[in-house]
Amino acid sequence: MKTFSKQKIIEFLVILAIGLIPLLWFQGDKIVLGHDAGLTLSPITHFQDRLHAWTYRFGYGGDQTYAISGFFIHGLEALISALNVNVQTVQKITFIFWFVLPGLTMFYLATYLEKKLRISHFVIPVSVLYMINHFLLQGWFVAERTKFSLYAALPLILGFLFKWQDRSISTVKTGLLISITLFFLNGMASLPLFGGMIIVLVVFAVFHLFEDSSFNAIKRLGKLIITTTLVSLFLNAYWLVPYASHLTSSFSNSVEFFGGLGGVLEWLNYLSQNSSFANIFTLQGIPEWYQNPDHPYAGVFLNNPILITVASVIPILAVLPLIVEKDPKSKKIIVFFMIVALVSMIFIAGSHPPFGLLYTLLFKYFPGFIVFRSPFYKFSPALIISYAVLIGYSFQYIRLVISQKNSQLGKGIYLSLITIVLLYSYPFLSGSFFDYIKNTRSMRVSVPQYIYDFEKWVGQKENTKNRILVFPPPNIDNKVDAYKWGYWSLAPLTTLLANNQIINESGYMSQNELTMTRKLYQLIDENDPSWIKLAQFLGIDTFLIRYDFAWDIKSSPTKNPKDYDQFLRSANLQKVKEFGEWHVYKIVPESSESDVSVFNSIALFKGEDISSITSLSVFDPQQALYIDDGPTKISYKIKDAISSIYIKPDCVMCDQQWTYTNYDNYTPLLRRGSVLYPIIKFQEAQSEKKVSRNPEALLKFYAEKSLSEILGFRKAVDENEPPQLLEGILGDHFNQLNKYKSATQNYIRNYQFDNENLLDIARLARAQRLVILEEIASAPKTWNSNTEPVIAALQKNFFEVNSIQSELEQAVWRSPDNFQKRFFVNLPSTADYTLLYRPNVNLDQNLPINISIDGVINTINPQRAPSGWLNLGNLKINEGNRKIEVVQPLVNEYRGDTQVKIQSTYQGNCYELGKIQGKKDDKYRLTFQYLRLNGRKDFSADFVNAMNSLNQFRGIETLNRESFEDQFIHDFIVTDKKEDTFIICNRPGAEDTLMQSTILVKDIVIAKLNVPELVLYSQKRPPSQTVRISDTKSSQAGYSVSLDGESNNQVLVLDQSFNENWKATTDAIKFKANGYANGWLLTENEKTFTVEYSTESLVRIGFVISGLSLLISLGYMLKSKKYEN
Amino acid sequence: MKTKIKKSISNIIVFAQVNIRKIAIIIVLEVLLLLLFRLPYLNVVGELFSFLLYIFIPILIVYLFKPKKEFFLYGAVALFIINIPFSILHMNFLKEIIGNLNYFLLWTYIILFLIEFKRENKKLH
Repeated sequence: MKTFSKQKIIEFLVILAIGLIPLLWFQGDKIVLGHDAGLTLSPITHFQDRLHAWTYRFGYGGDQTYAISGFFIHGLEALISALNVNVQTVQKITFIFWFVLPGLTMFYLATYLEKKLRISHFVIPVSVLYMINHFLLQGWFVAERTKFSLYAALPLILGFLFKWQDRSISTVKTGLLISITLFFLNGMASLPLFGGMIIVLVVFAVFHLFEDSSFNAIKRLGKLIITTTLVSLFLNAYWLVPYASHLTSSFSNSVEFFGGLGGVLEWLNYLSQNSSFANIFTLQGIPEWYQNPDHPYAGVFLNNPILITVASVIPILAVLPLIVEKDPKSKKIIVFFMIVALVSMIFIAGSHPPFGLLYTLLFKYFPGFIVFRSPFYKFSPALIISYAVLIGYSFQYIRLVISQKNSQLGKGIYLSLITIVLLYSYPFLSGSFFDYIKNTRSMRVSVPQYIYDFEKWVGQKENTKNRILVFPPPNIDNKVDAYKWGYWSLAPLTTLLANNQIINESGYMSQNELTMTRKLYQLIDENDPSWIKLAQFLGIDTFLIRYDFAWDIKSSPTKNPKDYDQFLRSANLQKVKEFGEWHVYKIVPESSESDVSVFNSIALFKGEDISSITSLSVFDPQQALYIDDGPTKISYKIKDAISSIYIKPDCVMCDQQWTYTNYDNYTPLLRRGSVLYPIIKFQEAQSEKKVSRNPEALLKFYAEKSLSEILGFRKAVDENEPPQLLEGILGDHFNQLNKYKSATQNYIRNYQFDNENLLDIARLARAQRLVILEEIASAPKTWNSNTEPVIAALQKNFFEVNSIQSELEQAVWRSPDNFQKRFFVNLPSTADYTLLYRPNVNLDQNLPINISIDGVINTINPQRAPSGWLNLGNLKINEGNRKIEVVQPLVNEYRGDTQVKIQSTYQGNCYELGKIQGKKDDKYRLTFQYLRLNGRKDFSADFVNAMNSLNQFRGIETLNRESFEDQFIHDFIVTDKKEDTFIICNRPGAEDTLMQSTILVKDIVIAKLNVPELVLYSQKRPPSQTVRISDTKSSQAGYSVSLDGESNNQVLVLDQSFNENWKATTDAIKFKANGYANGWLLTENEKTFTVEYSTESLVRIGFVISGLSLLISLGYMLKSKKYEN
Repeated sequence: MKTKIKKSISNIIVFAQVNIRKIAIIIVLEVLLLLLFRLPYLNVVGELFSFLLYIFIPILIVYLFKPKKEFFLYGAVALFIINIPFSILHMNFLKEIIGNLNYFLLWTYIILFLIEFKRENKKLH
């Protein structure tokens, strides 16, 4: 039996005592909650949920295979909670555990190194440095237990490896020890968190082989790697087995989630801005310090000269052991740690020079490296472990040298140095790091009792099946969940409370689910009675209104909960419970609470925004919707089961806005005049040749190239190139335009074109025309007679582009103005269609609507239907591509005089033309004719919310036409203010004369730029329900229902988010139902229907393998121990 | 103490006088490299491979002066101390250059140590 010396026991106790620091962080009844912490209010429920592959906590349900690896982290919290202590006590114990653990594991490594280096008083400084530093402090801000677990594992693993290298322990035992360590401290299997560990292990392996590159050494290392890998695979089977089936899709999804490679690179560059070697050496490269201007303590460390000096001493202390250690064997260990530090710095710096390129290349081309998108946070443990050892060595050396002269002074200095380490990380002592925005936002909050009361209620068995929608919704852009009592996070509070299906608009939903949920909120906001149909369609039966929601935060404003008072008085709702500021309402009469429902048939839906059809009077909620997304072929059995069709074509350019063209994407890097230009020309010729056989691609090629050419001209003008060169560029451009023109004519006249693509090409032509016009208008003043040919060439090219643009715009099918709304539709079959039209604007009810299909006009007096829909009657329409145009009688929102004369005054004068009372983001178009009748004073026009003085007025356009009438057109987007006024003003100016001016304004029209909806509905045959569900049995990831009646051709829908892994045991065709759920068309008569989330069985198998592997590993260890003894 | 400082300064002066040509070569080559990396097209290389500028200095020092490996260690420590005022005054450009130089000086020491270590090991075997 190994015995510990008295000193070791004292050192151990000192580390334990320092580990009690987290007790200083808790004041009163406050607990740590919010931000990215993921600390839960109900650890046991949370832990139980994480034992399964499917969770109901997020959105409409979702896969959480990734979360199973959190078994030990969340299990620890659940275990403490099982002792029947409150949440604060659970947090205190958990925090102490994670705080002291890195110190204890470092104690193990430091004790070994102390012996190896033949030194003393080494353990405490090393352990303290490893426990208390700014890297960990940053992690403690969100109590990152995943990070701490790997951080704590690192010294243990390194200790085992050193012992293995010394041959103190066998290869198999080392492999087992490393695997068992990583089994318990697995960082929740988050690969990026392994960054630091990977560096240490790779450096260790290379260093080991550098020392001894014999075959035996390689073989031994290989054996260790294989043993560790194999044992780890078996031990971690409980999450690895299910995760393997999930991995392929999740990786690309998470890259997409962060904005693709481009988005991740942008993030990398942003984080690496301040990760210079100088900052990393001094441990001051923490990105958060520089990016958060409200950081609670960063400013002190970055600006206080004393603290900067202390930071600057850190690298000197790290280098000191290399200078003072003379023994080659000891020095080898010191050098190893210095190498770890230097190698880790390359990675910590990310894309920062001088090695930024290397990191970026790894990012782009090394498969999987993209996970290290936050390099500082992922690789720093390698630097910290080496710094802790090196600086710890320096501390004991300083003590030794001074003690040789004065023993007491030596001790004093030694203790002072350790105290400085503690004080240098002073936020640890107060917990001020939790207050991440000074005096505004903190992680330490007092949770009101009613939240716990709600948690208890919602956790009761009879309430677990409710699907609850929360009010108010979070801010639409950042989806922040914030409460007046201090909670602030992107993770909805309800997900930390219970496992119920509580719907919060969050990043966990699919796009379709998000759109439908938003639509439901919108219908409720607008008091549209069709909300109830959509709510039932989404399986939502309960509403939670939170009056304590921080709805008026500047950065994330949303609706005031009180705005929902009218909605909550709806006859369809009944208040069922009140918990302080949280009130719960239920829809009455109650509908079925089963997650599995039976539908009588399938309705085909084609188009965008499935939710809008639920408000149609023809919509049958007993039909499951099948979305035809084009490329996927519909199985013939599903085709047979379709009883009705809904087609919802897009209104082409109804808002009259062309898609924005970003000129930066087309501006050439190299243009005529550059030495490399011939290469570019050669490349262009190659590309042209490649697309020459495809008329559409060729047309797009010319559209882009000619735009690029004219932008190259703009660049040359900006760079003051000589006129000859400019003329040359325009010559090239003209040649390009000629080809562009013939390609346009050829494509339009001879081919059946894709309308959407042609619209895009027309946009490019329009942008090109605009660039030329701008160039003509802004010709530099320095241009003289020499530049006349340039202007002439510009004009020539303008006419050429103009003719191409008109040809394209005539051919393309788009809404030409605000009255004629055009739709392009591809019909799957010839049938009698009911045409339903929702204009989303006020129409003149006395006038008919003209609707034309492929040019055949029908004049219709529409019938009004609920929710703003108009029934335009039935028409037989043939299958295939159809062009539909609706001419709508718009109402002029302008109510003032038809003609006004506005006179200027010396002091300035404004005339109010009309008010717009629209909804936020609604677009309006204002048009009028005007003419200056006399005078010279300028008038200008603008929309204003409220104007207190003329000085605030900023005109958008000067109205100074005096020879003939001109038309003024202005599109306007309603701001979040409720009312905007259009005014025409003249303002007093410095050069003002006393002369009076008058302008005439007439034919004023203010109309909403509406985007109407059109639905073509056709019923193929009446549906019939032949089966009903008599009994349902369910578990977390499976359902079994008993069926009564003929189930053949009936549809069963599980209203959980669609996932391929939901599998039925019976013979049925699976499809995505209702745009988000799992649907099955039964093809035979069945008595029972069973579905299971298939990954769940893998979880069970994995747990068995892991358990057995752990027993075998421990058995082997015990046996070998006995043998050693 | 005074005499020690005087002696050190005179040593440095003597060293500079003796090695003036070598020092000039290093400075000229480094300046040339700097200028080269500012030329059109080559500036791309300079931007992407900025570490070349820093690698160049220790290589030249090793080649021309063949100093003891500890020279790089002392050099690094001296530069860490020199960097303190730049850090306090937020002279980030200089701070970063010195930080980079430090990094490569430490690597030079490590490489020289490993070469020596390997050599010693071979001798032992």
